[in-house]
Amino acid sequence: MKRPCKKVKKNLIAFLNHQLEEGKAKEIEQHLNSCSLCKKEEEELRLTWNLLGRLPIDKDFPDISNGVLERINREGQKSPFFQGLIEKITLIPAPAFSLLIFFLAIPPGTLLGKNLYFALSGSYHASLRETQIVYAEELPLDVFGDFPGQSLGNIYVNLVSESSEEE
Amino acid sequence: MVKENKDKYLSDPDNELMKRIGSGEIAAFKPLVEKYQRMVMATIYRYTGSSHDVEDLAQEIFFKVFKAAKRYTPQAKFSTWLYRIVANHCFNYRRSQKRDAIVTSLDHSFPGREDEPSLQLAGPKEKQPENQVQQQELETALRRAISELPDRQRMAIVLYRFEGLSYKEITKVLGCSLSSVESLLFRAMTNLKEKLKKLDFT
Repeated sequence: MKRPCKKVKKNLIAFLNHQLEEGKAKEIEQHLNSCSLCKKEEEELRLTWNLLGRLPIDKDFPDISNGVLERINREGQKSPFFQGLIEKITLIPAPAFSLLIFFLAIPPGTLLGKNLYFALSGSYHASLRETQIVYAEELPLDVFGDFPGQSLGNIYVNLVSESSEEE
Repeated sequence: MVKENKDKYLSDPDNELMKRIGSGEIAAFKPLVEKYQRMVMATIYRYTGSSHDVEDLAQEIFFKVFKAAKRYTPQAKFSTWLYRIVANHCFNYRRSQKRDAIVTSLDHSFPGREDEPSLQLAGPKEKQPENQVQQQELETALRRAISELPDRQRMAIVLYRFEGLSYKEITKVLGCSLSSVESLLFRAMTNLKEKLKKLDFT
């Protein structure tokens, strides 16, 4: 599509509705006289535009003003305290409100979490302690004797055994 | 400059009414509803293509307006703000319809339903003059074609062709740029043209 054609098509709907400035409208008219493709497009769109105009402008709608006011009164009577509260909450910026909820939730959350943790994990901890004791008792002491000489492990084992001998 | 605009909108009688409503004067809402109810219902009717939920939707919209009155600050004409609420409410309505999968058959959404006054007035087709039948067929085809447009294109064409809003006003209602509105309207018209061509109306 040529550039002027693109420009014309962009303005075609406003042109059909006579909403273009005089200068622009004249430019488009000139282009339409020289470009058969755009002219065809304009004719088809004009036909569609005119067909839309054949839809009836108005329809008999009922008066809903009394219904709206009744609803307002009805809703207004429903728990005014909570409605007022919700309205106030919506006025507070969302980040501030979520921060408030977060800080309010920390103390009960921590308390509840601690209690639940001890209640649920008490038996698990007892069994873990038993396993540790058994493992320590059964572990042979010479497992550290295999470090190569002058290695850091060997030096450490020697130091520990010397100090225990001194004691 | 901005302040000047704000002052200009403050002196708008509709905005004055909104101010009174916001300060708790419920009675001030009635004239506002009376003034704009036709506009609201006509927009919903043209957008949904059906008169079925028009009243309910319009009531919900005015209820929203009432609730928003307390924090309403005029930044444009009241009608532009109202159109914005109408457009958003219509989009939400469409979304909820899709979500609930209550996709009513198109044939049920247009004149041809028992509750559509235009058909009730017209009576059986055989007894109507030919041009009246043609007009009815055309209306059905047009409403069908409009209802098949994507949401934003449909709202743009309703606002521009039927409600007479300018491009600038549509940018405020739909919250988009001028070139987006140009493109929405051009695509909407091209789609309509193609749909009507298929039905031998163009």
